[in-house]
Amino acid sequence: MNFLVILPFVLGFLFSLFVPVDFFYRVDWFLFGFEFRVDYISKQFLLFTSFIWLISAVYAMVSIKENKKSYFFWFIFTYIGNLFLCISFDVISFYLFFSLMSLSSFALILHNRSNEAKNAAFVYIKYAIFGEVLIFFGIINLVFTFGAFNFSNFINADISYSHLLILIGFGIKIGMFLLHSWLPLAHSNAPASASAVLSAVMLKAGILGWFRFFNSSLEYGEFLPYSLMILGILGIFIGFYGLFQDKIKAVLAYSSISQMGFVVLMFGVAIYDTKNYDLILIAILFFITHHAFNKAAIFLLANEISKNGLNKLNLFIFFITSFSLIGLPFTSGAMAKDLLKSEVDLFFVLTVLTIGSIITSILMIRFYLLSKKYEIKNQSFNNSVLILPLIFVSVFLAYILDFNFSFNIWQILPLFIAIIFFVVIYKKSFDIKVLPQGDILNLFSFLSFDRTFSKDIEDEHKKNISFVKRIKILEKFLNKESYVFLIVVLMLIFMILI
Amino acid sequence: MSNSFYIILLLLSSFIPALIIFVLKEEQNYLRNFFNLIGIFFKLFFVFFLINAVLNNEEFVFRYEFIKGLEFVLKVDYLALLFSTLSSILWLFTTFYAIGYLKNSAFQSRFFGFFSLCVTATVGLSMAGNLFTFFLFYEFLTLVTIPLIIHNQNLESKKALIVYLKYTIFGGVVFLAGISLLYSQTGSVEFISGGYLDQYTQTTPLFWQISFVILILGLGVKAAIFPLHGWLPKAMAAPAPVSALLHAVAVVKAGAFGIIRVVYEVYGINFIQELNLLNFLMIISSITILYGSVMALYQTDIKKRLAYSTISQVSYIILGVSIFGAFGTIGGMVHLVHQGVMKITLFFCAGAFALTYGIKKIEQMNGLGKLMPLSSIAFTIAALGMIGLPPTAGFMTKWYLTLGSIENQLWIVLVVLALSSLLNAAYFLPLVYRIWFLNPTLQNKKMESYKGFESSLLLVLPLVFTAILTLLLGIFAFSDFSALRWVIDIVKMEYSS
Repeated sequence: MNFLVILPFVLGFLFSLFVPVDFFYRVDWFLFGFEFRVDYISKQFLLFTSFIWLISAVYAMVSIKENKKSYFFWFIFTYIGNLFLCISFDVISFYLFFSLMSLSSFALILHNRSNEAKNAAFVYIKYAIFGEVLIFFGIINLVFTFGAFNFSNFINADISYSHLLILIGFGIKIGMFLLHSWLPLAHSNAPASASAVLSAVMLKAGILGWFRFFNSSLEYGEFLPYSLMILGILGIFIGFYGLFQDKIKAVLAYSSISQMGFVVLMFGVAIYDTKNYDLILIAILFFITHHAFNKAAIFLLANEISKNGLNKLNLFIFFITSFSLIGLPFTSGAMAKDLLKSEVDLFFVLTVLTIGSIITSILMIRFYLLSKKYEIKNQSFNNSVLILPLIFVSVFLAYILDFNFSFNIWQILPLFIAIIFFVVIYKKSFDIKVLPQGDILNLFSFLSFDRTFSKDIEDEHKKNISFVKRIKILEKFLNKESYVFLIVVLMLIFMILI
Repeated sequence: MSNSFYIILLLLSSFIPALIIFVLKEEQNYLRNFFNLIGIFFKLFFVFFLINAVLNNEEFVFRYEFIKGLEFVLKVDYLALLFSTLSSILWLFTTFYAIGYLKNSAFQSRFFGFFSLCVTATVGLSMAGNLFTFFLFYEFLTLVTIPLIIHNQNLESKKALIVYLKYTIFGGVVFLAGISLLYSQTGSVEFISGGYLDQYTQTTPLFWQISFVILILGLGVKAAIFPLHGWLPKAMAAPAPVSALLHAVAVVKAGAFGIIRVVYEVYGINFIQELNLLNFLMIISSITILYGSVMALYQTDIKKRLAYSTISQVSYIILGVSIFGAFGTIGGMVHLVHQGVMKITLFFCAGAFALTYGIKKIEQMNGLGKLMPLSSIAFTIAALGMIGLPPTAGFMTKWYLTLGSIENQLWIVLVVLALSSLLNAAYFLPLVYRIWFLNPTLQNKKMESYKGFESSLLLVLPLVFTAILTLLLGIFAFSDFSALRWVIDIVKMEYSS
């Protein structure tokens, strides 16, 4: 019975492995008609998506103890959404599977039913639905402009606000700056297997959305690229907030935001000058593949560390993944960052990438220091073994493109700076304060904007009572028929006079 | 003559069972149900027969001159069949549901009799060939819903009835005034695709504008347009089948359907556009949409929340009418069907929850997914449809309405639609969350046992079917038998003439 649950994941993985690159299938009877197509982008997405889902599913099989049934129910739903998303080639099916994925991952985040998990899930669903609405309006405007549903038709026309909507809508999933607050909450409170796929795969689904809706033949003006670049840089920097987290998974979540900042920045560069669009796209594709494997590995590892501490196997996995994330020589991270740098010659981009590496290094050291607090237990059988395939791919990935590594000082420098930073902190005995997760979200809580929407969920007495009262008075007033009729008659007289 | 015969038969197929049911004794349950079902069978048979015949370009008209110049006209056209098919099919589901819901309760003969009369009124309303006939059935509908609203015979339902009567009689009078204004200029003229008023050039536009506003006010009472919506939440004191078929579908749709007739077949959409009246419709419907959604957020009672949701959703129809162009019209008209199917599912579920576990408040809904899985799935599908997620029927509506407003570059309408989607999510998703993600509380006890099944079969089956219908209407929206295809044909006619 248990292995039956893994079956969809195995099938999905086999499909991804063997599906040819020009695969095409059309479903005519469903809604506007679905079109499934595999190109080199979807092939790459399929491969890492299905592989990481498979590993996470096996890991969930071992690690989830309570409510296993409902967990796997939603897990498989999210998986279906995510996998079909990769091969959808028309806007409607893309939107459908994206919504399926977004909405069912709510249940994954909620799984623990702790207060923190509930809070995280509610914050997440608000962001997700907001994103859905934006994407819907973006999509429909595209369809109206181009008169077609297929992605390949979106060429050579004036674009309008729909690309802005789509950028924001998918930007929520990616964790773009200003839209990222749900991410640390959700990723740190979900069960390990869920946060692995959330962080490693589902973030990338947003990037796939960008890839699909944008292409090199459209003109994007100046506003979108510049704002993307600025948001990307800010996103990289906001990762520093992860230093002030005491949960290891929250540190990792901020690292994700920072790393996605690279992608946002590079995507801004790509649509700024569409000459290099395709090359930068390939660089981003490689970067996110590298990030997917390493992030999935380290999220699963975080759960293992919280149970068994940093034993030898965990330490080994930690070093490989963190080195790769920082981008030390001979790792996939170095490869990915080299590739990114080779496509642009803008000085500020290179500087920002280096600063980004410093921030990642700081976060990784913070992660290491935090995980040292857990007591080391050596169990005979360790779930960490399940992470090894991911590590293997991560190491292997570095050699997939080319074997000539250029070793230079810039690759190690960030780590040194980060170490010096921590040494200084400890010498001067600074205390690293713990700040609440979700940084800018806490600014909004002053406005208590979202209170009104969660009326049912929270306790009824905590509500903004005056507003409810005002609404009730209005309702009472409107329920007195005589007043209503008076208004109507007055309106009539008014209109006739005009 | 033989053709008009079928129209009369269609009306009689629910009228005669009603008369028979009034005569039957209270204990003759089986006989009553038998006549009811026979009526439904004939009704559906005639409706499908008429659909087939109309597709083959046959004409069905029944005319009778009361007084000189005042004609009673029944006519079968595409629009009439859209609404009568909807009410007949939903009547089938609601009757089964009502049989299950009212089992062992008093006054069943009265209930089912008037229920059939209501359907007669609705079908007559849809077949009405001119404003006068429309008005007759419109008022007939008001009268025959009275015993249904007061069915429970408690204080609340009496209060509800008084409010309902105040509103609807006011609406009827205003509507009649509007009709007389038009009649004074045109005499008795039948509905026609593309409208007929633009031929009367000697009348000033102001006159047409004022009479339009008066007509909309009259119809707006039943369509629950802000601020004339006050009766609808109150009328929720009626039993669930009544709320489901009448207050979610028949009565409010009668108003919306009347507005469609007035806009497209009396004035004509081009003439309305010339008179600048679409903005008026757009403003009132936008306000109603937002107002209904916001009010729904603040309701703690399930049926009340659904009622405010109805107020908001029915205005989608009027919003669609007010958006000039084929897309907006398709969105509005098809929502007549889509909203009916989705909302009836929600009301069926609310009724099933109330009858099985005594659940009326939202905070009691915790963990229903485990107790009543089928009903909960149906509720979830319908709620997602209301939000407008694919592949439900609600998605198609939202799609066409949005296309229409993009076509006319109505940014405010786009904002209204976006806000409304968010608000819909905000007031439906908490219910879905409670149903699936919270644990059942202990005080929820079954009122009676149903042999291992979640509830009475007669309660659950109809709502499962309507939930499936919600999905089918969305998924197969472009097949030959969908509501959307039918509506597209209607809209082609309205804009070609």
